[in-house]
Order: sequence, then structure tokens, then C-alpha cells
Amino acid sequence: MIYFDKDLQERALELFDGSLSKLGYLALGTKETIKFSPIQKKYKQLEKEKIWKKVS
Amino acid sequence: MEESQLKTDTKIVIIGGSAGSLEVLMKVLPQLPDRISFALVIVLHRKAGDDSILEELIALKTAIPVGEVDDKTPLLPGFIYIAPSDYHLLFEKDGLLSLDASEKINFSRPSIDVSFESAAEAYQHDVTGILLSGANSDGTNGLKSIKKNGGIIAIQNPETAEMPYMPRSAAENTTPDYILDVDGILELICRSNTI
Repeated sequence: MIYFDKDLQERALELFDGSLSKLGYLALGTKETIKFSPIQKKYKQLEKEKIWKKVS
Repeated sequence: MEESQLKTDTKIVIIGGSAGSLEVLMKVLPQLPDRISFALVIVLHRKAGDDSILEELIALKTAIPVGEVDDKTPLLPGFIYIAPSDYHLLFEKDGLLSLDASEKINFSRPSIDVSFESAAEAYQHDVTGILLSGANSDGTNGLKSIKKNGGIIAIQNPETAEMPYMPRSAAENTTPDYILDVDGILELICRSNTI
């Protein structure tokens, strides 16, 4: 995803988010993050890993 | 990224270095003020690997917060950003940092040229580029770009640098605004601070 611009990243994240059921996990690349995305508020990060659990 | 998008007015001091440059940073960083009006970006040649030793070491030496660099992290004044190992660090015109895992440049990833050139293009005259000790010619072309785009360029004095090759290459192929010893480098960075 690092080769996408911010807008395309956002679209990709929304697609992932839409396809993932609650309590499912989203794993990204080592330098990718959902920290600056609106979907972040639905997720909880696992420690410092680039893995997020969908909590709502 | 579209040209029409407004860039931010953040000022950037970007430091590039290789062998012998960490010692310079270890002397300069503790003497910087805790609050800085610009973003301080550090691009060092470093071993590939998934560790954050350099980040931890630098964080120990300064009270300036060290921002975590992920792809598309916003670049904010008041923070230090360190190019992660094994990625090129790039600047976007909309104020974001991005990362790139494409091939090494000057045998290096992160490459100093890549970051300097990208900063020059995105931030133009708001960039101050400083090139420290090192043993290859990375950084020379990047300094040229910063200068061409109206920024300020400074080089560590090759006479006193632990590894003179990198600053000497830049001194011979660019027109530096300053050639400085460690104290001068500290002073230049402090002068960029408007807080």
C-alpha cells in the first residue's frame, strides 16, 4: 500500500474495513498504519505490531 | 500528487550522514532546545533490519519528541523524524512523509540523495540541508537540488570529519552556503529556530 497515494490508500482501507467482520484482524506492512485514517476508531492495535483488531 | 495541492509552510532541517556522522549527532542533539519551530529530519546510512536502535539512541539524547515514521505520516514542526532502515524516505507536497522500498541508490537505502531531492522539490526554499561525515558520495546531488530550489546547504568540514569523502564530494561539486565544524552545525540548526 505504500505505493498508493493517500486517497487510494484510504479507499483500500475502506474496502478492507467493509470486508472484515467484527473481531477480525487487519494486518498491514511493517511501515503501514491506519493511525491517520478515519477507520482507526473502529480498531484496536496489538501492542506495537502492525495488526489491528476490529472492535466495533 | 497533484501540483495544485497546497504545500504546508513547515520548515525543514534535514541532516544526512554515514560513517562517522552519528558521533556528530550525539554531540549536537543534546544541545538543541527542547522546542523547535521546524521539523528535524535525519537520514543516516544504517544496517538493514527491523530494529529501532537508532531511534532509541537518538531519543535518549534529546527532549525533542521523535516521531514514528510510517508511510504517509504527517510531517510536523517540533518533531524529529528518522528515516527507517531499508526504506527511502520521501516528502509529499501535502505535508506527508512516504516510504519507498525500491532499489538502493548510491548503495544505500535510505539514500540521502533521495530524501534531499524529494525535500527540495516539496518544500523548496524552506529546506536547510546538512551533510555530515561519510565514505561515499551520497548526498552531493541532493544538496545540489536543495540549493537549486532556493534552500540553504551546509557541509561538515571535511578536514575535521571522521570520514571526509562524503563532505568533500559535496564541497567539490556544490556551492555550499556553509562549511562547518560541529559547533557551527549546532549554531546553524539553532539559528533556524524561531521559537
